[in-house]
Parts: sequence; structure tokens; C-alpha cells
Amino acid sequence: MRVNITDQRSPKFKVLSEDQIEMIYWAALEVLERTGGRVFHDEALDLFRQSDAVVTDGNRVRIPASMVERALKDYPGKITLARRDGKRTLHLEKDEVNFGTGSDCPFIYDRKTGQRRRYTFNDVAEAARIVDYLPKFDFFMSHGLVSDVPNPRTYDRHQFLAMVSNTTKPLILTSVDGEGLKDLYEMACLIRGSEEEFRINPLFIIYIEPSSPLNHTKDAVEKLLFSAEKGIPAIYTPCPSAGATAPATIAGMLVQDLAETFLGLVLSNLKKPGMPLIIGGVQTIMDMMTSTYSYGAPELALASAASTDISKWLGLPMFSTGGCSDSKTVDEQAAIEATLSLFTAMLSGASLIHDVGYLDSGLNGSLEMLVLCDEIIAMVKHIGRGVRVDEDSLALEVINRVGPGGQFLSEDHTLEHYRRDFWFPKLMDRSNVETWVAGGKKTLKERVEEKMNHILETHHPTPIDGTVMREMKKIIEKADKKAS
Amino acid sequence: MMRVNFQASGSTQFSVLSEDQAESILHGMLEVLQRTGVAIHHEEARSLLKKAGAMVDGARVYIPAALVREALSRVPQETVVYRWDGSGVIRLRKNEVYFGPGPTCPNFIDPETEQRRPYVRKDAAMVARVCDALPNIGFVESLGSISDVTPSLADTYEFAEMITNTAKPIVAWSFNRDTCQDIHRIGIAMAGGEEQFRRRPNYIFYAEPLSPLTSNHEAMDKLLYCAENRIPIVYTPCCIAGGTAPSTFAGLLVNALAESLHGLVVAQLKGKETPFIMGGVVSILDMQHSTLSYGAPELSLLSAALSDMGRFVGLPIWSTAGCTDAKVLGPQAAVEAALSIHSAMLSGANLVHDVGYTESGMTGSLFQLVMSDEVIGMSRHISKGIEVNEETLAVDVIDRVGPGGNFLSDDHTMNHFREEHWQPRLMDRWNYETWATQGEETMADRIRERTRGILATHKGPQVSDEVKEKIEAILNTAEGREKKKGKKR
Amino acid sequence: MSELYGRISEVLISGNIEEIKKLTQQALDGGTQAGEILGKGLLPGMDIVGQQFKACEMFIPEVLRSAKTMHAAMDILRPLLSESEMAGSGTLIIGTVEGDLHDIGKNLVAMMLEGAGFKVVNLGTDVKPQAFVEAAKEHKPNILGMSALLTTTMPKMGETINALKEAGIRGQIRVMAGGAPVTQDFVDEIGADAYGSNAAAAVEKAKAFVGR
Repeated sequence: MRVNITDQRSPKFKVLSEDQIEMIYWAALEVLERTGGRVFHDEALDLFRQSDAVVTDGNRVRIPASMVERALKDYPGKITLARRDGKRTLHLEKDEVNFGTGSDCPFIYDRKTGQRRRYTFNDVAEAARIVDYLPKFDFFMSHGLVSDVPNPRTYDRHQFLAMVSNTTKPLILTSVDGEGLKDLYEMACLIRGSEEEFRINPLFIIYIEPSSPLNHTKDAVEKLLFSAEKGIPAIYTPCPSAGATAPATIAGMLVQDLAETFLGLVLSNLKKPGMPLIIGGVQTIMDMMTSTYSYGAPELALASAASTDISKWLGLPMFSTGGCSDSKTVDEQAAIEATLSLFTAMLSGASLIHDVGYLDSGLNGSLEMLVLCDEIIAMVKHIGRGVRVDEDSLALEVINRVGPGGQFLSEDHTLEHYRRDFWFPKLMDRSNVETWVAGGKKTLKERVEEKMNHILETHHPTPIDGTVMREMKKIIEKADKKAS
Repeated sequence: MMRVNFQASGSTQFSVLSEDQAESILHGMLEVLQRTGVAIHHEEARSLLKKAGAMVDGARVYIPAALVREALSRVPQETVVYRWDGSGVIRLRKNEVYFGPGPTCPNFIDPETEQRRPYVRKDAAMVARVCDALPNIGFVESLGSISDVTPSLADTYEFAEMITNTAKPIVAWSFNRDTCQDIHRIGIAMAGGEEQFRRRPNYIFYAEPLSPLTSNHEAMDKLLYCAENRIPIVYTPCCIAGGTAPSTFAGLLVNALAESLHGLVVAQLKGKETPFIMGGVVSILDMQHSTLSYGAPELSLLSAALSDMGRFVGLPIWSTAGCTDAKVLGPQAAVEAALSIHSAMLSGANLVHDVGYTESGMTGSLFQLVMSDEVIGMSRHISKGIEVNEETLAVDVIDRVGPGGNFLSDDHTMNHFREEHWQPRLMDRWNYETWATQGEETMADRIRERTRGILATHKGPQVSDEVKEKIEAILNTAEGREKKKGKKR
Repeated sequence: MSELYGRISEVLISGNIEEIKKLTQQALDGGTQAGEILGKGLLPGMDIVGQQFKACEMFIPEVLRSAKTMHAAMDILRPLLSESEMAGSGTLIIGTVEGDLHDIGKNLVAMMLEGAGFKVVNLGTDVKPQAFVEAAKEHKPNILGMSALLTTTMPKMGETINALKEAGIRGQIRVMAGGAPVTQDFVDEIGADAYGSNAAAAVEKAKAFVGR
């Protein structure tokens, strides 16, 4: 029996040293004290005025470092979400990785015509069913944006319905404004049974986006304050683009991002301490040739991983990004960009890795890409299992028995272990060329489509209870009426 | 502003094994060499080992740990290999990563017709030229096995073609000692003489023990030749989990190390301080198709773990990436290449080969190589990590731009975007409309375009007529010798 | 003389702000008309910038640096240019529609249009249809540009065009629309005159509208 041993049960990875993290952290605090941010919300400004923060020029808020440091102590390093059926499956804890989709892509390629068209309620429902089925997806964000609604100002309620009816997995939602969030919350509480049940077993995280650089818009703030009040887990995240809405240097982008996040953190703390808050978001460059907000750039993977290092140091769950691409089609570029970002995000230990399945720089929510990425995530996670080193796996007895020139195929040891230690592909083809040709030269694209169609034909999650459904629809109708 | 006691991460930091785990594997290997031994089918090698204290029983040699430790302590920690035209070097030292293709695929994807066909002499020149042009390829292998020359000289012709089309160091292989010598003579001709070669070696030699735990006669013979002539040598196995190696990964690593390091011991006994590289092709036996899988995630994981072992024992590492089980260019080829390339980069392996391997190593593809070159660029950019200093933290810039401003026209952006942002060559970032107007190309279209463009326009280094003549002479002599051998049979 | 114009163009392309100020003043001191400096030195220089950008030989920050350089020269020339000379380059108002606060794309286009010699009035974000109309009445632009990043705010583009019609000035202005969720089909649907698929395309179409 061996003592005093340290094993790596998984590969170790990081981008930043502790000293570098601290420099970024202090720079963010400096920005908050010196530059601050603009807050476009009256209640929020009042809260700031009543605190140690300094409000000038109407809505310019500067915050002393001590406020941030005090506030940080109040935030949980552990947030758990439950599925529609109440099972607690989404654990946001340090280095526990979870994968899921992104939200609100306006376009999709029509499966029949191949034409690019706007996303519909039905498309989101299909995306939900596919994600519900795919084992490597842990949560669902709408993937597409429901455009066939009576009023675009209430699309979020309809979108929620499409999502929650078609998957039982925990959700991350977007809302149009504070009113939208209220309705989504009310509907979720119907499903949970009560506000208390939602608080202890949240069904969704709300995604809130202030505006880089340093602008905290009315919509973003009202959603944040409501979330703080009700204890709704929230992501408060700008989407900076290095060189455009943030400094061109990645370190500078991280500084600004953190400063924006911290303002939200301090604000929600003033409203009501201890809300489940998640930091992070999409961090990438503006491509300086095409002006595209790039989802495939290696800087996205790098910045996200560095951000994750910072989030772990702060003790807060991280919302990272991966499995996405600038490619307009599921080609080699999509595969490469998705693989690099998924692999890096997994290694970094981010709690939520979202935007899986995004094409066209986040404008196209591809169903085929979801199916492909499920396979990539499986491969990436298999690497994440690391190498087990113990007497059994060192197999010195077996090596001795087999000896030079022998073979291991017929060994019991092999039979016992290969099922557990090897990864078995579902979509990757390893047949030799003769077999492949005889089988019709099937491409990966064809296998992906086959699988996607099969899922859509056969997989239907448990429907929602009829009474609950009726009540939810009432809420939606009311909102539609009010908006028109 | 001056900060003291500041430790920065100068790159990403990545490892699979802890020190304790690496130590367990090392001790496991030492136990295997001592207790199980290796089969060495070479008299001189066995006698060298016996003299040094190993126990020999027929072909079986039991190597004591002390011999291994001594060899490790003597092997050079850093080796420089030189481009023969003086245009640069590659340094085999801890955490310095280079990528290159692999050898001996029986088939080749014709870059014009895209047909899968046998590999011929002119392909070796083509592959070398493409390697020469690609910015992220650091060393060269042929991606094939020449079928239209004297079969027993395919190795020599390949080397001759490649070395005259690029100055990037080639990793050569040969059938036996004779052709090993032919190749070395060519290397010497390119260096300008034997002394010059010793001072500035311009190629690396690759030989392969047999898993499990065996060195056949030719492999040892070539190793000894390299040790005699101070040619940097890669002596690494191909370990297939569940087939020629244990199905458990720790056990596979034990064997892989034993197979490399017994070669190290012999090399150091024959020629002190011969530069030596360990590593191997480490992956699983796909249990459905009974093939060695080049696309399996296990290849990435095992290779990275083997890199950790290389660093632990203090040797440069030969690794594998940029390869696929796919039969054609497409998302599978791309996923598998990206995963293994990124893994190899992060793990700090030194010579990462088989970039361009498709169909589980049966077919070499320039398209796969060109695609992988782009991936390597991306992976390198990630592994460079993040520069954190007063300038990059940009607190002044953030204040200057202020809430709601933009950084696009700021001097800071102008000064930094070129370095901080990686420039794609083959990735399309245009919006949908622009992409549609430009013809809806896929990456495969761009890969093919770039490959053909390189082949049409790229000029390699100049080789003097004198050297060309020398090489001709060496080939002719070799032909003569092989003819005689043929008559003897 | 043409050597001076050539030099001005060069300095514009390389984005040297100090140098352009010197050269512009030099040209004026030497008796050259402001309008000539604009038309023969600055605008051709920016045309080349536009071409190089289109050919992927220049990056956005470099283009914008040239635009800044142009700006610096214009600061000197503006008081000396006649009304018609100023108008000849074209006037454009631009804004992000009501309910939408995204502006980086719109600002990029605005900066590039300024660089191309347009007078640009940037109305900012969350611009109500009526505000667009008021600005159009005040500045009498050749072109009105609308941007949206949120699908939910796109209907405001149609509303803005209707507002222009109701105000009786639709016929006097060309309307251009752009933004990630906007498409040619949508632009046709709402009756706008052009779709700006990216910044460079927007500048080109704007130039075509004013006959350049």
C-alpha cells in the first residue's frame, strides 16, 4: 500500500498564473474606481447613491474596491439546477464542466429546400428535442429565435414554451426586458409548484447582457434586480469584442469584462446579497478584416480559458463558450473551430460551456452541428478522464506473462478493461477503404443527418401536465394582449 | 509602475500525469527491463549490453536499472538540427514543438485529380515542396512509399528527392544499414563533408523497435550505425492498446518507454552522447475494425501522457497528430486532426509527426497536411497564452474610451491587434451574404486551392550542380549494389 | 502639383496625422484651393484605401487610421470649403433603431463613410422613427442609414420608412439598412433602397448613390 501519493485524475490545464490573475483583478478594480460605468436605471442609481459608491454626471457610477471585495464574499461558489422533473443534474462547481447550446440565432437552413430562412417555434422545439436526446448536452438555451410570434416584444414567452415543452433538461433563458423575465419566472414557478421550490431547485438561469464598454442598460439592470430579489440564478455578462468594444489586447478585454461584471455584482449585492451569480460570457475579437464578431477565432478559446482561471480564483461559476464557428456550413472549418474551443473549454474547467452548435458567427443555429458536437464533446471528455496509474493498470504481471513478441488481444486483462477504457465512436468512421466503399462511401454529413432525422422521428420527452400548460398559455396570452 | 516577485505563465500549462504517476510508470518500466527483459536480435548490441552488466540469455536481455539511469544522465538535453542551407535550425529541447508529416503510406491522394493512387517518386518532391512552403511545418517526411523505383531503394530515392526540395530537416527511415548509409552519404553531401555534418547535423533518423519489447536485427543495426555517426535518432515503437500493448494506458506507457529506452542504452554504449528521441505512435486497437486508430481520442491522451514521461526522464519526444481515420477530407478528418494537434501542442512534444495521414495511415494527403497547417497556427496562438503587463491591461485606454465609446480607431488597437489577433488563411469569417456572393466555398475548396497554388508557384532552396552530381553518384552506386544483391539470390 | 496630390494621398493611406496637417497647410499656403485638395488629393487617397480594404490588403484599424487622418485634414479645410463643395461629397444620417442599443457596427460604417468624405450625422442608438424624420428635415441628407442587431427591433425599420413617407420626404432620401439579422429580402420587403451587407459594401453603395 502506497502513501503520500498525488494523482491527476484528469489532465491539468491553466492559462494564467496567480500573479497574472491578480494583476487583471486589480486593474478591474482600478477601472471601477477611476472610470466606473454608466447605469441607466433609477432604482439602481438610488441604491448606489445610498452606498459608498460615487454617482456623478447623472448616471456615472464609480465604485471603491472595498465594495467589490465585500460583495464577493456573499456569492455562492456552488449553484445547482434541476430538470423539469425536479432531478438535480446541473452542478455548477469548480472544474465541473457542463455543455449546452446558445440562444436566439435568427437563421436556419431549411432541411427540405436548403434555403436559409428565419427560425420558427417549431425549429426551436426540434432543437430542444435533439438536445434532450443527446447525452453530452447538460442544459438547453433556445439555439434559435422564435420569429413566428404575434408580437416580437413577447417572443421570449413563446420561446420558453417551445423550450420547456420539448426538453426536461435545465434551461438558460433570455428575456426581452424585466416584464419578460417576470412572466418567464411565473411560468417556471408553475412548473416547480411555488417560488420557494424554484429558489431551491431552479429550473432556469437568466442570461443578462449589459453593453460593452461599461454601459449598464435599463433592461439589463431591471432583470438583474428582479433576479436578485427572487434568487433567480443569473449570468450578468457583456459580450466584449477585442479591438471594437473592448481593448484589442486580451488582457485589456478581460479587465474591462471583469469591471462590467463587478458593477453588476455590487449592484445586486446592494439590492439583496447572495443571489446565485455566474460570470463570464462570450469573449472574442472583432475580426479586423471582415468586422465579424468571431466565434471561431482561437482568441475566443484562449480568452474564455483565461477567464475561467479568473473565475475559479474568485470562487464563482463560469459561463464559457465553445463548439461554435464562423463557418456558414458544417465543413472542416466548423469542425476545427468547434473542436478547438470545446477542448480548451473542457480543459479549463468551465461550469457552463455554451453556444455549442452555432454556425455563421452565431447567426445560424444548426441542428446538424448539434449532433456532430455531441460526438466531439464525447471525444474531448474522454481525454478529460486522464490516465489511471495503479497496480491494475500498470499491468506488470500481464506484461511479463505476454513477454517480448507476444500479443495482448487474447488476454483476460484486455477483455476486462477495454470496454471501460476505450471510447466507442457513434459517428466517426474507422472502417478500411474497401468496407467504406462497399457501404456506399457514406460521409460524416450523411451519418449526422441520419442520426438527426432518427432523433426527430423517435424522441419525445414527457409532456407537461395539462393544467400547468393551460396556466402558462394564459400568461403568454396576457402578455401578447398587453404588447399589442 | 514596477512589480516585483512577479511570476507569469509564459504559455498555457498542461499535463496529464502527476510526478507520482510518472514515477510509478518509470519504476514499472525499470522493473520490466530487469525482470521481463527485451528480445534483441542483434549480436553486437547484446554483447555491448553484456559487457556493461546486463544479463543475456539467448536473444533475451535483462537490463539493470543502473544502466538506464546512466544512459539518461549522459544523453544530450538539447540537440540542434540545422537546415542545410543555413536558413535556420530546429531545437530539440523541452517544450519546443515542431510538426511534420509521416512516412510510408502505401497510397496517396493526387492533389490534381483527388484520386487515391500509389505513391511515386515525384510525389516525394511535391510533399517536400509543400512542407517547405507551409509556415507551421518544421520538419519533413514523405507521406508515402515510392513504388516506381528499385523497391529496395525506395527509402534512398525518397530522401534524395526531399532533401533537394527543402532545407527543413528530414526525418529519414531506411530498410537496413546499407540504405541507412546511402542516406547518410547524401546528408553529408548536403552538409559539405563529414566533419561539417557532425558539427551541424541536417537530418534525423527514425528506426522502430517492435512491440512488445523486441528489437529486430535491422532496427538495432540502424541504431548502431546512427550512434557510430552521431546522427540524431528517433527510436520509438508503435504501441497498440489491446493488441501489441496492454489495453490499460499505464501499462502501455510502461512498454512504450521500455521499447524506446533499451535502444537509448545501446545507443549510449555505442556512441556516447548520441542525440536520442523517445516517444512513439500510441493508440488503441479499434475492436470493431481491428485497426490501429489514428483518430481516436486515446491517441491524443496517450501521446500527451508520453510527453509528460519524456519531460520526466529528460528526453525529447516524438509524438503523433494531424492524422485521421477518415477516407476523405471532411468534418471527421478535421475533428480528429484538430484534437490531436492541439493536444500535442499543449503537451509540449518536440517532433509531432504523421500530419497528413488519412485512412488510418494508409493514404497520405497534402490536403490533410495543408488543413493541419492552419490548425497548428490556431493551436499555437492559444498555447502562447496571454501577455499581462501595464500596456496590455489598458486601464488608461479603457478610461480614455469610456462608457459607450469604441476602440476601433484608438492607437492602442492599431498598435496591438496584429500581434494579439491570429490571422486566418483558410478560415472564412465573412457574413452569409458576402460568402454567398463569393461562391459559397467550403474550407475544402480553400484547402485545395491553397495546395495547388503552392505546388504551382513555390520555389524551394537552390541546390548546387556539384551536390546534385554527388547525389546522383550515390544513387548509382546504390543501384549497383542492389543489383548485385539481387543476382546473389 | 500632381506630385503634391500624390504625396497627400500617400500620407493618407499610411495614416500619418502629423504629416497630413503639414501637407494640407503647405498646399493652402502655396495657393491651392481647398476644394482641389479635397477632390484631387484626399478623396482619391481614400478611394485607394477602400480598394485595398476590399482586396484584403488593409485591416479595419488601418482604414480607420486613414479616416482619422482624413478628418484631421478636413478640420483644416472645412472652414474654407464652399457649401456646394461640402455637399458634393454627400451627407448621411445614421442610427440604430428604437429599442436597440448595439452600435459598434453602425459606428464602424459611420467612421468609414466619414473617411470616404461623407458628412455623417450619427444619431446614436435607440433612435425612434420620428427622431430619424426630424434629423432628416434638419440635415437634408442624401442618405439615411439604419442599423439593427436585434431581430425584435427590425420592424422599426419599416416604421421609420413609413414615417418618412408620412412626412412627405421619402422621395428625397435614399434609405440603406444593415445589421446582422437583416437580409436583402427584408430590405426589399420594407421598401428600402439598399442593403449594406458589410461596412465596405455600405460605403460603396453610399458612394454610388451620390454619383461617385
